Amino acid sequence: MQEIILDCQNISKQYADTKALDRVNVRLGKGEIYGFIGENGAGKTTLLRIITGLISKDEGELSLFGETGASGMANGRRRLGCIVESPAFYPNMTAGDNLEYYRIQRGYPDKECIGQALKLVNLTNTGKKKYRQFSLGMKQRLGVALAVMGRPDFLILDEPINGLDPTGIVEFRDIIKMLNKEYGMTILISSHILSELEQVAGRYGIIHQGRIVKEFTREKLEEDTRRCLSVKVDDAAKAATVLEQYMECREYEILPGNELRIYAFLDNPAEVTFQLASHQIRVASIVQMGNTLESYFLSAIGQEKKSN
Amino acid sequence: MLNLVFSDLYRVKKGTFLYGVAMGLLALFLLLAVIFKVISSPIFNELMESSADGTVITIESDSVSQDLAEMQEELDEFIPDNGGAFGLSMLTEASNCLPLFLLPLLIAVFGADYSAGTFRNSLSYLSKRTPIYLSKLLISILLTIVIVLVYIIGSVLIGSLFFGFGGLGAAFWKQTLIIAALQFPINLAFICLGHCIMAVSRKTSHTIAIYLVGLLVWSVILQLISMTIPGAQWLMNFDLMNAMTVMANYQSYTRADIIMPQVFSLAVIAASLGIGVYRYQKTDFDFN
Repeated sequence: MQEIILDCQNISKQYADTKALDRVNVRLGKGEIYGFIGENGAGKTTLLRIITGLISKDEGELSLFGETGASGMANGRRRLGCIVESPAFYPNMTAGDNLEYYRIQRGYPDKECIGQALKLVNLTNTGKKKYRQFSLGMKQRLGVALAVMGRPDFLILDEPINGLDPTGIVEFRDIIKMLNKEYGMTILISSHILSELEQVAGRYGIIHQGRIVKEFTREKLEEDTRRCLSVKVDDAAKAATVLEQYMECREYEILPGNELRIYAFLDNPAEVTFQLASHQIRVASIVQMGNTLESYFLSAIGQEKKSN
Repeated sequence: MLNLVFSDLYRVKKGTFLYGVAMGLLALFLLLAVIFKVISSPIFNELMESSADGTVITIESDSVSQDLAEMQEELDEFIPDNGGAFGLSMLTEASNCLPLFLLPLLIAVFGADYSAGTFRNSLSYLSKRTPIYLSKLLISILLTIVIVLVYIIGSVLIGSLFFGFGGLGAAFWKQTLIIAALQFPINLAFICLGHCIMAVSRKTSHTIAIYLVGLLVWSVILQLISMTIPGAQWLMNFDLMNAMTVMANYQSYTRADIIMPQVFSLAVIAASLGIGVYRYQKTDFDFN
């Protein structure tokens, strides 16, 4: 049975007259990479703050590594690495000094962990540069370095690629995959940049106005967002034969109502129409279908808005 | 908690705020030493005498001569004879400015977490908040002791430079140590109060304003009340700024005058510690 790293049950948080979180349930198993998606103000950071102990919850239960209660959470948080909101360090200290401060504070015995963390995020050449002189991307990298220093079992990253250039984004993606694969780190990433989440996460949760509106796996996402040509014909079986024999295409499926979904020829639907017509198959309609994660997300929150 | 203390000591070592406060104190002593030196100089005395003759100011010269002579005598009393005397005069006459030098320390130790947002890194890893608060307070107290040492040694060194070496016998050190010991609870009260204000206000700017304005205004109000209402002098026991002066001049006051401010300081320490720890524990850190 998979070890449950994070278990949020009916977590709620109220601010004045705004319900920031409304009975949120999230569960992460060991080794998962979970993508947390939501608009600004949806409640992502609020939930991450509750998990990391920065704010209290009003209702619900929270457990980390199967432990609850004050001492359980204290133990759990020692196995946690995180960036919540923007990275924060002492402005007049260097990268190395800042990490050394936290190494001492956290009681990590091995000084090498600082060099390893900086090497991982490609920040080894900052020398005597003070944190206040860092670019946004450098600050973000240092935040990641602190989060992974000490090799935590659970990593929480709140908008981690903000400020990173394209090279940095690719490097960051590789780091995440490596940490998950080689160290078995469970990772929770929240991001607006959905295309990046698509590349790393295995499971997703969409949060809207404090509620989880949809949770799905990557496989489900790929299935729901796979682009295809939807072709309505008068004889689907015959059309399938034409596809296989004359177009050498086996990437299709037949749906009820004489509809075919063809996962090839996306750039050349005219060829499909031509071939079918040439073999006396009437084509009622041919439409290109498929969602990006963005439109999938918008559709999910749109449905939530309608139901509200 | 030891790790917390060591990490903050590391930050003190890497930072320049302690150095800055020490330099500020030494600059103050330097300025005062220069002023004393100027006042005691022959040029200044000549200036005073020529003023009395009316060569500079044409007014009734007899009364002016008398006033200036009295002023000269009073000034001469302040002029230290040697480094030890200068150091002692800084303690007895100017040590109520010390709380103002403690403010930058507590801002650097505790307030930096709020202004830089670094509390997120500590609180997310170390769930228990009380040890974090207490360790920051302990560092502030340690730095206070350092600043008091800088105050004493710095004033003696600068005084010796300007007025000559001397006055550093057993009597000087005994008096200095007694003053430092009597002022310690009051310094502690200032530190605890500053930390409490920081925990409640959560902003360094508000903390600075409340600390400075609050202390000065409180002191002024109590002084006004005690001067205008007969028999209200006992209210001065609740003025921590005044208490610093009382402790520094303990030989001129009664035992009650010394004990009451100490008791008040202990009450301030207890109250601000309790409120500060409680607020720090309960605060939702969703700002910055």
